[in-house]
Amino acid sequence: MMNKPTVLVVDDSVSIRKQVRAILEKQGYDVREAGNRIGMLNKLEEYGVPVTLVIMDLSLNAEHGFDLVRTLRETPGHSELPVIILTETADRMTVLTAKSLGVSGYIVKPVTADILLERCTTARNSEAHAAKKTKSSSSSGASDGGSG
Amino acid sequence: MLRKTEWVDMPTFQTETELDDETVVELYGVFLEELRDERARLKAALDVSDWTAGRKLVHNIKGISASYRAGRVLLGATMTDLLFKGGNNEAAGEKIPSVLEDMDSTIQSLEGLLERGGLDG
Repeated sequence: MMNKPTVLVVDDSVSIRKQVRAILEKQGYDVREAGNRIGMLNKLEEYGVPVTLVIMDLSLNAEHGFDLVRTLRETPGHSELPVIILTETADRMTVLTAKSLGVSGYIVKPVTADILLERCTTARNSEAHAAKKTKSSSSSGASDGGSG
Repeated sequence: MLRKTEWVDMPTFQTETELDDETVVELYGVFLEELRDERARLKAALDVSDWTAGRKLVHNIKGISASYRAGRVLLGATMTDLLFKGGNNEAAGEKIPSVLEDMDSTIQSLEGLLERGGLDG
C-alpha cells in the first residue's frame, strides 16, 4: 500500500491550521500541525515518519517566516524539503526572498482548496523531478562519467 | 443550507474550501474560539497601549477574518493594520475599539449560527 504524503502545517493561528488540515485530509494527505519553530522541529522528528512537504505562514514580519525557512534549510535531513508559504501579500521582495530560499510556491490568503491543492501537487512533482534528476545524474556519473 | 449573515459568510467559505457542512461548522467553532481569545488579548493590549502586541494581534485578526469570511472584522482590522504599518500607532489605537465592537457582533452572530448548526432557520 502506498504511503499517504505527510504535510506539516506551521501557523500560529489554530483556525487556519485546521482549515488547511481539513482541505488536505479530504484529498488523502496525512497532516501534522505546529504553531511555532520549536513545534515545527519537533514534528519533523516525530515518530520517524518523513514529512514530504511543509506549509508555513509568513506571519506579521515576513523575515520571521523566512527565518523558519532558513532554519529548515539548515536542519540536517530536511534541508531539501519543499516549502509552500502562506502570505497576505505577494510583494516583489517577498517573492524574491522566497525564490532565493528555494521556496516551492506561495499562497496569498485566504486559502482556497483549488489553489492549495494545485500548489501541493506542483511542489511534490518538482521534488520528485529533482530527486529523479539527481538519481539519474549520479547513476550516469558512475557508469559513463557524466552526461551532457 | 449554510447561512450568510451581515457578519460572516459561511456559504462562500464552503464553496472555496470544498468542505461538507459538518466540517465547515466544526471549523467555525475553532474560529469562534480563536476570535474570542484574540478579542481578549487585543482589549488587554489596548488597555495598556501596547502597540507592539496590538499590531501583531490586529494582523492575525485580519488573517483569520479573511480566511473565515468575517467581512466587517476584516475591513476594520485591515484599516487598523495599515495605520500600524504606516507607523501611526496612536491613530491605529483609536480604531481598535471599533474593531473590538465588530468582533463582539461577529462572535454573537456566530454563537447564534452555530447553535443552529450553521443552518438557515
